[in-house]
Amino acid sequence: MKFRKVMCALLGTAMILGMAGCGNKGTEELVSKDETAGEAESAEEGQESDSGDAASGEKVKLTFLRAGTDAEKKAFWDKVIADFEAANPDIEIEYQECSYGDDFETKLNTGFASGTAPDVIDFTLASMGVRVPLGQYAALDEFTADWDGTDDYMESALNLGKIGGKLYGIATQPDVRLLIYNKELFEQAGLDPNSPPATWDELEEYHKKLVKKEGDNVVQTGLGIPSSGTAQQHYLTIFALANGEKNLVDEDNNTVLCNSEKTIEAAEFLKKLEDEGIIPWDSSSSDNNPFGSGLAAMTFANTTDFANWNSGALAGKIAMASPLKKEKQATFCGMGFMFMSNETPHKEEAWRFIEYASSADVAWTRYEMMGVPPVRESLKDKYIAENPENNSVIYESVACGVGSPKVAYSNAVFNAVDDAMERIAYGVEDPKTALDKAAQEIQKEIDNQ
Amino acid sequence: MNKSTSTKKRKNRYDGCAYVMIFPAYFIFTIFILVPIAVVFYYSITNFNMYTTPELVGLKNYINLFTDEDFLISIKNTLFYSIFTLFPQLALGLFVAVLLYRKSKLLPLFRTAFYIPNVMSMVCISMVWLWIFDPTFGVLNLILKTFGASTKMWLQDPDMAMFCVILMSIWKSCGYSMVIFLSGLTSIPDSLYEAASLDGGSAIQKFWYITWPMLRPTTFFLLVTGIVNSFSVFEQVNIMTNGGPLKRTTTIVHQIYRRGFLEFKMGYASAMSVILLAFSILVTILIFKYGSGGQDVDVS
Amino acid sequence: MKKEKKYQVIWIIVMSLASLVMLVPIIMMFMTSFKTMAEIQSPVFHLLPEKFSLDNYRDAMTTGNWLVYFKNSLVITLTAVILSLLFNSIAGYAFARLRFRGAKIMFLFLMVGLMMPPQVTMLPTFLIMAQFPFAGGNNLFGTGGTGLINTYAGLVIPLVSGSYGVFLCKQFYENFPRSLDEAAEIDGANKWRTYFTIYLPNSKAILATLGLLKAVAVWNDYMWPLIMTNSENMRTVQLALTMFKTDSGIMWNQMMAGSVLVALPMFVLFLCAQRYFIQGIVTSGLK
Repeated sequence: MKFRKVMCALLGTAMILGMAGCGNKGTEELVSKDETAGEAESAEEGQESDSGDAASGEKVKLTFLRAGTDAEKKAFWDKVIADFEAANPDIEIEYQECSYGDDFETKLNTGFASGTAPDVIDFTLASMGVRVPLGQYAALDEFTADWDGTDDYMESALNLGKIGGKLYGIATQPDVRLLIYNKELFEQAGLDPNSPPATWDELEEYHKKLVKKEGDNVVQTGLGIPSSGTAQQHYLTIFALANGEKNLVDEDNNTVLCNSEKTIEAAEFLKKLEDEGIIPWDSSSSDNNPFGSGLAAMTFANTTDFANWNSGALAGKIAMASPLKKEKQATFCGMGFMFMSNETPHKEEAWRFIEYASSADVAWTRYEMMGVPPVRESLKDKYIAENPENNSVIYESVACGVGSPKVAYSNAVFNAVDDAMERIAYGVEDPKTALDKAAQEIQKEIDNQ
Repeated sequence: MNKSTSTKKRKNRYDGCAYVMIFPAYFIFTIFILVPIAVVFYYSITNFNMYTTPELVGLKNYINLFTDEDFLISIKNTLFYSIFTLFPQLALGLFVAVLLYRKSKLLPLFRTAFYIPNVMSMVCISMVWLWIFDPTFGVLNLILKTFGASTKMWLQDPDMAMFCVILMSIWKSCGYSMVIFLSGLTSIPDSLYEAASLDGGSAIQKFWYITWPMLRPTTFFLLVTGIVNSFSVFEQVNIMTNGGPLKRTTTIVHQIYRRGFLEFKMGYASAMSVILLAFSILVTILIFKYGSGGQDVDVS
Repeated sequence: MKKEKKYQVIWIIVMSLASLVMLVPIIMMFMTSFKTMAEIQSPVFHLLPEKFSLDNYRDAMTTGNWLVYFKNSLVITLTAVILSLLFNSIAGYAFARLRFRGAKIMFLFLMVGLMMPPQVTMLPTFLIMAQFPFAGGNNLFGTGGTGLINTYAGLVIPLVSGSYGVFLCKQFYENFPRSLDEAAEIDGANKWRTYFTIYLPNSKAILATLGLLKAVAVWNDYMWPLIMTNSENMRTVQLALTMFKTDSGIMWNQMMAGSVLVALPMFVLFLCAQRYFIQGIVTSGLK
């Protein structure tokens, strides 16, 4: 009998809690999210100013999430954070990391959805288009009045962080696609290892000479064009840019350019190279790149890839070439940024950390520890002097680099173009049909905005 | 509740403590499974994008689903995967179980060999198989080469990619079926086989007239749980092919994940989830209705 | 007799070959864990490494703080297994042996839980954890703090629920002879005592089975810890393996060495539990 009552009480509680859970957490919470976030913010701000007054009071705790999980970059960030904390005893940084790609997006999305997003985020240019319109990244203009970077930063790098005239991200890590080639394979094919292709025609000629077949099987290719994966759009972009196109879409007036005459011409050129013989690879992971295993003589990759290959089996056999030229010289250049969450109650402190992490000293440490080219004019000469041959190529590539379009529907652009390039690579559709279809899909997303 | 209290007082037929006993399990189940399912139902009629306030959009998401080529392909792929994973895997599991079912000191050794893939994490196993299928360095092509056959593109080949994923999934899960079948076999009384031997029955006859009918509940159990599992195939697809090439391997849950978590269309993804759940329930009911054949496994 | 022996030999040969085929990927993984990166990237494949060196294991285990990762995984797995076994078996007992209103419908609902892939309920579950009342600085309405995110509780609790466990326990207990209950009733034992003194001690087999399945699922889980944990000292072993994925590719040798070590506990667990494992399912009514 006693159990009966206990049971009723417990089950009742369970139901109420369950319903509360349903209503409160599931729906109302989201509806009233803005208000509660505001409340939380003001509450914490109160706390913070208290401690600020007391001066000796509690430390401000910032969470910082960076993209990537490798130990070398962690060592860099550990050093930066330790130095920053030593110089700013009132701030404590909690370091978080998560691997690139889908995992990172998922992590950030769940964080913002639940109001537990990190205060400072290290992430890519491509994320800006989506996350700025959602209000997830904070505008930084109020802090940059007396920031030394305003004058010192490379014009192009600074502008990459802007949307609609407002600055949202501070560029720290250029991720430029360099033309990298294998000198040994060039020699084997009777090509001069010191004069890499500079134009499309030369590229085609070199590519033809470098393709090797055993029966129907391609055992070596010239330019290792991916057959699937997320980097296909970069390949198309590189050639479309060189052909004089602005980008895959025009972010100023939302015009779809991925099926413009110039882009289609670029895709047709790529297809022509593919028909000569390629080794299919999934470009979602640069690990699969046939260049790394000596099966492709040329590829587009970033400085990290170059350093990695140059320390492995290909050491000493590879070199960088200036960006290809048709109508103009251009390449794709992504960028790693420091962003500030719009939800953080500690904007002032978050900015201090971003400012520190983008300072000239740290930029140089970043170059020394990870080989990342600095984006500050004051470091240019010092940087090129370190390794005149390669670093001048890198600098040239960064200077003529164009990044992903910063539009709210950028994910749709990437997916549609990747899918189209895959259909072209597998010969299911010709370049025009495939890219027209992609343009339609993108247009649909634009209309949905 | 009150009514049942009084009933119990009168007839003493019900055990009140049962509610307390199921409370912990049911409480967690309610909060972490039932409520989220309800929330998913709610999202499916909104335009929720994980960040801004959701607005009701009625059945728009569901209507859009049926013109979404990717989703329709993913349904086809999921069904294809389920059929070609589940049945071969059950057949293989049964075959190995029957082969293994004899007294031997080596039995635990073999059983372990077949079960190991099942205790490994899918993430790690998928990566190992990526290697096996690698067109240039992969073991599979190496074997083909040594036999003088022409090499294949495996995961890069639109016509073969799904079979590669299926092969890997069969490899991973056949040990589980084998162990369950083996346990089913050990519970068949030896006397049945002895009687059959006296009647001069062959091994095949024994299997067909004794083993197979006696294993029906086991088979049924594996079938039901297997179907639900294969409908929600995700991890191996996400790692090995990411749905490609040419969308030939994208599955329903893979679509849900991409749309919801990577394209911010949580409302739309929730509508897919609801369809998936409804579909799983429907298939399970059908199997119960037509597949159990009056056997003693019931879930109610 | 002679014929029987010949069969036995053939059987051993056939099964050994079959086992070997099954183990090829595992063997590859194991062998790779001894190779150098250059060996792995070379175009010629050799199964055996040039020399068996433990360098990869040393390098892998000195990257990051693996003691902490193993401790986290162990704590999470152990708690989830123990709680889920206790909760699910007692619920299974209630569904199998006790009569109460709504039992049938409640059980059917439980079965629906079997059909929902975890990726689908991940976001709502995560929101619930973030807004859990009175946890991580939250108030009654679940705002103001981070809830159960980045805590052991947040990692473990959702994993405790298990329709599958309740289902198998119910089947298992239904096969217990009714006379046991009657005897207990005559002794004046109530349902709780019956469960704890008669049913629980006799369910070693099913608990070992469920425990192994649960442990493997929790230990190998990747997505949930990924979104639930933030700091390094909460990281689980599966998350830690991503450390070997660098910006420019995967360090396969260390990755495989790490994977072998991470898989080892589950392998040992299976060896210990396999005797019960078979029995557990036999007696749970799937005869």
